[in-house]
Amino acid sequence: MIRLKGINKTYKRPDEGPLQVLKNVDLTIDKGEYVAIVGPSGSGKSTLMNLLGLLDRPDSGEYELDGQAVSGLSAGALAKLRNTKIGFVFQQFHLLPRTSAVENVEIPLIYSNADNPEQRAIAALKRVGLGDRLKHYPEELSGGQQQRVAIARALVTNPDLILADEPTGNLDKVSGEDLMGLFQELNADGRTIVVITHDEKLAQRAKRVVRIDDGRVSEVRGHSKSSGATVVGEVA
Amino acid sequence: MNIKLLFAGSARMMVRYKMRTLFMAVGIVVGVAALIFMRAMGVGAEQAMMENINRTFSTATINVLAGGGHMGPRAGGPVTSLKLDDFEAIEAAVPGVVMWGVMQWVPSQDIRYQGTTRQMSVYGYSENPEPVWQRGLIAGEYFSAEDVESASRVAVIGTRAAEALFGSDDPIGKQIQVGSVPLRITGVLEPQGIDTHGADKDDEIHVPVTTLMRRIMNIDHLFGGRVIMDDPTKVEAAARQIVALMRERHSIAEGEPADVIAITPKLVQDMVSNFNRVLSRYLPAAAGVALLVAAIVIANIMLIAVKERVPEIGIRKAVGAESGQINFQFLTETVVVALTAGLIGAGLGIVGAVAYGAVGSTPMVVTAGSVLMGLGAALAVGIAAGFLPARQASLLDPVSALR
Repeated sequence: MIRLKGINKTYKRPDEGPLQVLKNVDLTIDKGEYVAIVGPSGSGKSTLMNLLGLLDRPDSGEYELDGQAVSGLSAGALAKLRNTKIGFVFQQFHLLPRTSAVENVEIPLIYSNADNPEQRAIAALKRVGLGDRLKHYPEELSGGQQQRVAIARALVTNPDLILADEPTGNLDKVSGEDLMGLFQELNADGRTIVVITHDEKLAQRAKRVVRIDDGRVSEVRGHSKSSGATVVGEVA
Repeated sequence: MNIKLLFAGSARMMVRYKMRTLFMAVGIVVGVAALIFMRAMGVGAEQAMMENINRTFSTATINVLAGGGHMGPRAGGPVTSLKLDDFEAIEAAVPGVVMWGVMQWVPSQDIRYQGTTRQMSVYGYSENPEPVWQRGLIAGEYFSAEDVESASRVAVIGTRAAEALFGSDDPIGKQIQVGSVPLRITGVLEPQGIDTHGADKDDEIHVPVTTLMRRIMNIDHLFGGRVIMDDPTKVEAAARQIVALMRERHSIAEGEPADVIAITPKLVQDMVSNFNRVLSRYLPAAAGVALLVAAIVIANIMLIAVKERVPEIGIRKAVGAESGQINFQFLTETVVVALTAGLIGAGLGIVGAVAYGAVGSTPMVVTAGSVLMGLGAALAVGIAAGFLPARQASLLDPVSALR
């Protein structure tokens, strides 16, 4: 599904010198995996997420998504890939205010030519257990429900890959548990799931944990190449 | 791109952000309504004037006036060179003259009947003036060729003047005193109301031109006359020939200005449409200023909206919106607001113009052209005002937008 090879990313900073955020990162994620990427803040997690999600480009290195090299693609082609292959879930949910759940979930379909956008949106909301909240505004939903709407939005184009950035970061304990259950269900359906998180419990639920520290990636557990016995408690 | 969802989304944005939409719309509503209203006023005024001209001027008419046709006092005194026999000469020399009549007048003259005195205008005409001057009688008869020949002491009178002097008595046969001259009323003029100069055409009397010149004014020159041609296409050439003939007969040296002016319908229409061009250009220009202000307000509001909606734009890009699609979407939002406002403004303008025309005395004519112009202006404002904000939205970097 994902193959990163020799990825480097450096940010220019106006006051201080340039900051290299990703250092020669190699990472392969197979179809159907459930991967947690953990690491302290400033470790390069979010940058890695943006690169995986085609929101940003690396300075050097190769990225193959679903067998396709994406380095040379135009901005428009990247937008199309984001639309069809990737579903995003964010810490802040990023739902449009004063816009119903169905309308929020329909948004990715505005930019594709899918038939019956409303039915698809309703189906996605039913899939995440919000069949009875279709016309509710985000303001009328709990945090957990809002995040479910966001997941429905990520699912509505039926992508192979779900990228989640701290999805439980703004949720209480119970809602967080629910959400983790939902991710496991989606993974059981065959979707590839990549979650960036501080949340130990969420990381524990993943089949595989990858640690990123100071721009370098190391396997913690779960991948075929690693022992799988590493203690998750190391991850901060 | 799913256009249906896009428009539905734009319509929802309008409803959702009511205050913002209201501020964006109000300038366009006012501007478009004003544009259509003022244009209706301009077109109405033009049509009314043209009708008026066509009523007083048949298309085959030439008005010949002594001097420049000044109605009031004139430096160096009145031009006294235009005489009755000049018109006989015109009929003989200019081919295609069907008929002609001459005119002299006194703006304000004391008219007495028994104890009552009233000031009114006295007009002197040739015999049977109705076909030349388009003014008939509702009772009695006009003066004849014999009356003009012998400067008879007869007159016809307007309805308002008759009422003032005789009350409800029949005016015909009554003897009135114009200055020191006694005149017998032979007819009553059809009512015509107020003319374009503001004079009451029903508060005047008409007498044979010879009677006015010899008995009342003691002069022998005319104010002017009217020549009717058999063919409207001959009018311009005939007018030039008349002026040349008058220069010759009155011995006007070459290079000196002519002592008569020949006014043709074309000349009058040109003058009026010149005036109306000013009217119909500057009035809508005022509406244009309102629309320009509306465009600036909308552009400002949309720029602020783009700033507020940075996370939204980020999420739209993350889920697959291309820059061009974001650009199109924001432009669509502005255009949908502008066009909706334009339609409301057009409705208000049309209703306002029709109502104003029905209530007041101002003629209002709403044309399809002015409505299209209003809607076109609204569309143009929407596109112009939306361009920059939409571009700014489309250029946002999704990574920083989502931070």
